[in-house]
Amino acid sequence: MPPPPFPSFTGLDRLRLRRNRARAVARGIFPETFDRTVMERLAERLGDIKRSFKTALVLGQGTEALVDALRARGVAFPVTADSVMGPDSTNTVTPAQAGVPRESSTLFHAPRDPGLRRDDADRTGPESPPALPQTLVLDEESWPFAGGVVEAILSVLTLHTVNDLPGALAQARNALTPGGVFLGALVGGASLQELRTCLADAESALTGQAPRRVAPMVDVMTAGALLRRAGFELPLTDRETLTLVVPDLTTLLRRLHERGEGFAPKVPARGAHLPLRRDVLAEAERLYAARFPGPSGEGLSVTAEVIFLHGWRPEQTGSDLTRCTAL
Amino acid sequence: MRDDSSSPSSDATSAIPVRRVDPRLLEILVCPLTKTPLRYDAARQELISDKAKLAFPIRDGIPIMLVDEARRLDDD
Repeated sequence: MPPPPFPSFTGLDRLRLRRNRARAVARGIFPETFDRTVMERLAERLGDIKRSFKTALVLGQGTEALVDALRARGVAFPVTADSVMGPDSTNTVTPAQAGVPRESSTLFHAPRDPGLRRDDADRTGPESPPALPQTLVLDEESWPFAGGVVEAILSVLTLHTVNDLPGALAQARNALTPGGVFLGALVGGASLQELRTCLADAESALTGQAPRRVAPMVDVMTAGALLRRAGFELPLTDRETLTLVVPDLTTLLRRLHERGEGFAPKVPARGAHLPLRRDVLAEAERLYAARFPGPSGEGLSVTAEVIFLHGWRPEQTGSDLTRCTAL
Repeated sequence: MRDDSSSPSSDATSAIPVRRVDPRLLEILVCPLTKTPLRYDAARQELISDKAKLAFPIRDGIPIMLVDEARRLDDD
């Protein structure tokens, strides 16, 4: 008897992803070491840009370090945004209350002057920017910005959650002022490749089916093409592969869920998503440990690929190559 | 544009200051659905898109620009 068909992947359930992210944020897990590493790389790339900015938008969660880096280079009006409210924005759950210790600050995260935090509500003049950045909640697929209003957009590990990446990039470009820069870090398609193949092999061996268990993510070539298609000038992409080590498969899956990154496919009207069988999980773990052990033989290796996107909104009067001398 | 309301969830002695939405932020926001300008209702702390007939809430100084969190305005 042929196995029953399973629903094919038709995109991500973004509402579910947002709820998962809200839970992760409320627990205060952002930024994790991974996020910090990515933000450090973005700050380095920012340092390569000669042009100065007064306004900047930072997309992501726990991006204080990047906001500080922007302030250090003269951005008077940083705005942060994410698809969910930040942990400190509601004054209800702090990381300490949620029982999650924050990691101490790393390399470039300058401690914030506590005196600056006090009365930011009263500081609205252009000469005295608020100590806390203005923040908003948005949907990366329908940006709420007028055209040409922000000089730099930095995106930290959020754009893998959209179904319409070309649309999201086009809207980012539109929000930029002419000559404005987009600098994005997104999760690339080589991420979780070990998990993807081991789950697929285990599942097809035991059940004869291999439904998608890991969301598709963009590769670096496609990302470059999408940047160009979105109308960015001088599009540059590069990738960095980080290898993380986890003790076992259960821990990997738990940590992905804690980050709000559990697989959340749109479920079509007919046919629920196939549950992952325990024996499949056990077989996947066996395959994983055999094929992709940690560097010292302990634990499991996990690939995390980060794709960096860099592009300019064209000036109205032709291209100006001088601003890119550092690149 | 002026924001004279304070957030009920914050207290004056809290280490975290009461956040108010900055007029400069309001100036750059448009309706995410129609990309048309928004009206700021300071009393209700809402950003209103007349074209989409939606009111986007501002919670603790944070505009929530999500269509499914917006209040639907009744047709007159």
